[in-house]
Amino acid sequence: MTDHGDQLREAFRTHEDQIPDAAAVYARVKDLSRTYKRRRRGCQAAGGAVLGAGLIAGAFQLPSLLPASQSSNAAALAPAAAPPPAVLPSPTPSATASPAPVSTKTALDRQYDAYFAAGYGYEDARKLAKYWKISNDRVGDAKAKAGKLLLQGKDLPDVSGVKPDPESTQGFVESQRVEAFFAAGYDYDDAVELSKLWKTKSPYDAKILGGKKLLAGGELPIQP
Amino acid sequence: MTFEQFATARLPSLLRYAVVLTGDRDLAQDVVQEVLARAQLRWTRISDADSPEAYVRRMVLNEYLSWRRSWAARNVHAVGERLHELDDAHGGVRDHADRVVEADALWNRLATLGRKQRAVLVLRYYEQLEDTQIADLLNCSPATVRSHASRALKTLRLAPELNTSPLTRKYAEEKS
Repeated sequence: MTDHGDQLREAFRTHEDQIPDAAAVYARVKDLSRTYKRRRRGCQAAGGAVLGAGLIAGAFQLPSLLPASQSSNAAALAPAAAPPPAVLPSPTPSATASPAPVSTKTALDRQYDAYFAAGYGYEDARKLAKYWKISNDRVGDAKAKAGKLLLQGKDLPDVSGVKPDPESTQGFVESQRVEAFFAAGYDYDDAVELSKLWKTKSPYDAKILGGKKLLAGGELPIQP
Repeated sequence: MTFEQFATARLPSLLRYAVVLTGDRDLAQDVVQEVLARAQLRWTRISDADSPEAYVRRMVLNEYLSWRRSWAARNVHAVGERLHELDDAHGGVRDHADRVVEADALWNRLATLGRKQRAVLVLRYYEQLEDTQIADLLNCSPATVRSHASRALKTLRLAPELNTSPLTRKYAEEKS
């Protein structure tokens, strides 16, 4: 048994019980599960052809809802190989392929999404919280308030150090693609299989690519 | 075993694993919730696995490694930094057992590691897995696992809190 091994085991052991309330987590699992089931049914009802419009509509409408400067910023920051339209609803959706958009996101979710889609992060929220006199343990409230302003087309207050980060925007776009991948019923094993088929660097990259294709209205070579 | 039976029996253990992996209670909750919600949809397939628990723990690991990448990582990193600040402000928590203080300092330093490096340490020292098993979970070679572990341990050993904290210096002085 190594000394550093002992130290690490001690560090893990003394902190592993800092867990959230299991009953609350389980209740949330049931909620999420119902949401995913609804999404799957929606997807299957639409023939599985298009996920984008109905899936996470709240998030994907964000760039077009953001102020012009924010929207163009987010678009400009997306990687060259991943054009922004992939995360936007199709401007001319096919009548047969597009289910009616039914966002399962709450207003709070949309505010958070607006905040992150614009490229802001945790440190920005801390500075905004300080500016708005929101306590440090309620930084999430600052994100929501900022997101609400962005959704209303308003600018965030001019606070020193608060600026969008290209990596954050890219991370948000990636996370939405991954979410679309899972929401369509695919899982990690599918990502491994797709990664081999597409020769991507990792299963994670396959999730991103798969989600991008699904959001663009495409199909994947394997079924979920 | 039904999904409900599995979740009832294993949820606390999964949450502990996620807390150790992520170093962040809220992120651990998010990760486990997402994983279990998806696991329920695919429970027939998962329950057919040799070990449903191992399958779900692997899902937790993968979810952690891919979770909303950059901005989530910044969030977790900031948590570690804040804890450092807290420790610095208190000048170390003198009224706790020394081992616990050292464990806290190491826990905080773990927050500065990259996700794969941290995952390797958790899998090796918390899950007690061999490097070959870890390599299988992370889809990499055992040599890469050893490399991650080596870099992580080097980072942790280089951490000033571990080598030159007031408590460490106090031990050295008491032993001399």
